[in-house]
Amino acid sequence: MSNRRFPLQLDEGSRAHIALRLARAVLVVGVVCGLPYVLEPFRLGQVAAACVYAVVLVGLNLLSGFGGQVSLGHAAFFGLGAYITGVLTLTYGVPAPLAFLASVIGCFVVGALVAFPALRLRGVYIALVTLAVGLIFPSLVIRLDSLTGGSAGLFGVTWDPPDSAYFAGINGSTLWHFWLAVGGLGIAALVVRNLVRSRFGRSLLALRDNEAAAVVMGVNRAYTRTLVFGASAGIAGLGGAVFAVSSGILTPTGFSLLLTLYFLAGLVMGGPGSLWGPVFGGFLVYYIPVWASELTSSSSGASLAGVLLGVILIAVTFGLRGGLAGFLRASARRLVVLVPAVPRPDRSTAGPGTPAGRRDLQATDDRAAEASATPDDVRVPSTVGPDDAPRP
Amino acid sequence: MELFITRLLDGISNGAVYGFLALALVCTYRGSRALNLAQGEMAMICTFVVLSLHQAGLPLVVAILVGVVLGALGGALVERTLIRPLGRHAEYPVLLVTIGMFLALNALAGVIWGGDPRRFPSLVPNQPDDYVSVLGARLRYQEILVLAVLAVLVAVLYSLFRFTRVGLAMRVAASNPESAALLGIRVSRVNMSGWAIAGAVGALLGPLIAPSTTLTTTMFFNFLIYGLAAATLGGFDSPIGAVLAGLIIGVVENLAASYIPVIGDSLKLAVALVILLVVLMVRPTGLFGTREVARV
Repeated sequence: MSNRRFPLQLDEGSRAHIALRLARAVLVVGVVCGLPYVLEPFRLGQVAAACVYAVVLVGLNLLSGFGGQVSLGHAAFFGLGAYITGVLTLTYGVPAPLAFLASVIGCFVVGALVAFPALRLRGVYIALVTLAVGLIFPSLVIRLDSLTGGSAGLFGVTWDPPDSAYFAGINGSTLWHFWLAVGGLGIAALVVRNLVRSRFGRSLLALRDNEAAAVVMGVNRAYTRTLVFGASAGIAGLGGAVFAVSSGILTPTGFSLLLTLYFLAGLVMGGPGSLWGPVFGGFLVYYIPVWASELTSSSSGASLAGVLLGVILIAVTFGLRGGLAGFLRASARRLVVLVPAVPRPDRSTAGPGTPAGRRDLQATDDRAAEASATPDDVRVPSTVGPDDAPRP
Repeated sequence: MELFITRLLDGISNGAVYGFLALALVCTYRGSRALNLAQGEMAMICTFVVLSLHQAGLPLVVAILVGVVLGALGGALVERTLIRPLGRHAEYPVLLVTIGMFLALNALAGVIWGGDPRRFPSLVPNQPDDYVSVLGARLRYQEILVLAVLAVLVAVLYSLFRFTRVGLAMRVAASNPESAALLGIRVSRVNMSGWAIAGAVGALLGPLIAPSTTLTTTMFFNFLIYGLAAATLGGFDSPIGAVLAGLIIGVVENLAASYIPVIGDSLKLAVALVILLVVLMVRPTGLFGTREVARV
């Protein structure tokens, strides 16, 4: 009998379902608010740095996971956002919030410009264009050395914490950077979540899954692709801005090709095309090098991390297309299965003969139930990611 | 005039390297439709192995030959174990796998050989005064060697594709894999030999340029984008096109760097980007590529 209890069947919109979602939200908020009291400042700084990576991955996920376009240039957008904030606050004395805004807008515009050539191209060629952008960025920073400080770097970018008792102590700035990173991550994740669930998001998913069909159905391809590239770059720029004020030091070598590849590896490991995937990915890609260097001598640690990341990336590509998020989703499906609610017919448009028994029919449809087991994650096949999300 | 000749020769010798790498990229792309981003890193590993063998007492020429054989075996092994299982229409997974290889190989070289740059011995005299004077400009022996090897390589590959049964099979398999399979050509084996050739070409390139660049784990980072730009300009499925395009890019970037002051030496890479973008916008099939037509 006990074997039969799982998976639990939950109706979408039922009290139990709402309670479950509420519990999850409370858990997330609780963990985030509790971390500063539990972790020592050094560890808290690490979490903040991982969150910065996660912000970039949320942006990359919008483009690659939901949009189906690979980008090998996101380190450049990350760096551009960081340098815009750095130069504006240091050289021109612009207040940090405005500089953040400028970073996002600047990256959005550059991203949309990069999207133009990408519009005409497919697959590998888009990767080539973005790869070129990613490789150019460090040399451009060095070339514009009067503005950016060149290869010597830019030092002392800060955003002073607000004048409150919470941020007053010795660890005030660490706390402040933590909340900046968490706030940035929260905003980025919400923006992507809402974008993906909107009309725009449905256009995006349709383009990814079958471009020709989507265009025939009336999706504006140029508009959608340009906007998604811009939004993705803008979010990466936000991550860069947070990085600039929390690290304080910007050097062109920090935004090299390797960083882009780390981002991509992180996204694939975390799970592209899902909302939690990039968050997991950000933490994985930050902590794997940290653990590697804590386990071994610090000099070979970074190299060992690269080997690990590369091997994991290959393994995930072969065996776990949904990444960690896909794996967790599949595991959760063993415990709880959600029965989707039937769309209520609109009285003004519904015909007179709408069958009353639809709901029962729908409720027994296993495939439909499985297909939307967790409504928070839009699970549709992705070219980069979960072509075949693992089944329990 | 002397500056012009100097820059032209620099461009040609740089371009030879780009063409070399583009040649390797094209060899894998033709068969498997796979863009091997790890091509440079595979070559880098082979170069480190060559140096280690040489330091263990092997003559340099023998060490390089061993490296080339290893490169070919490595390429074939990668195709068999990591690329073929992904299937034919798997551009993104293949891209991800080659990125994984890039990260892993790059880091592995760091673990084994450390991050410090190393001096690499040259096959020909490579002192400051070992050069031929051409109209007042200097052409170093090392650069002549790269050009000569490239010329021989192109001739060999061209004859292979053009005049042998194996080459014929490779061309058929590249242009129409289904029909080739029906004709009894083992397409997957042909693709594997494409990877083997690419691995060998890369392993040959590494020891040729290492004397001038010094041997580091990052030596191929910039060459990669040049190689990709050259392969794109050449059309991605034409070996001759790739080499010619490499030479063109090398010359254009060097002339642009010396005659357009904004660019200078630090923005040379941007020239490759612009060429790449223009080609992709105007003529995505490149100069010598075949246009792909698909039924929707």
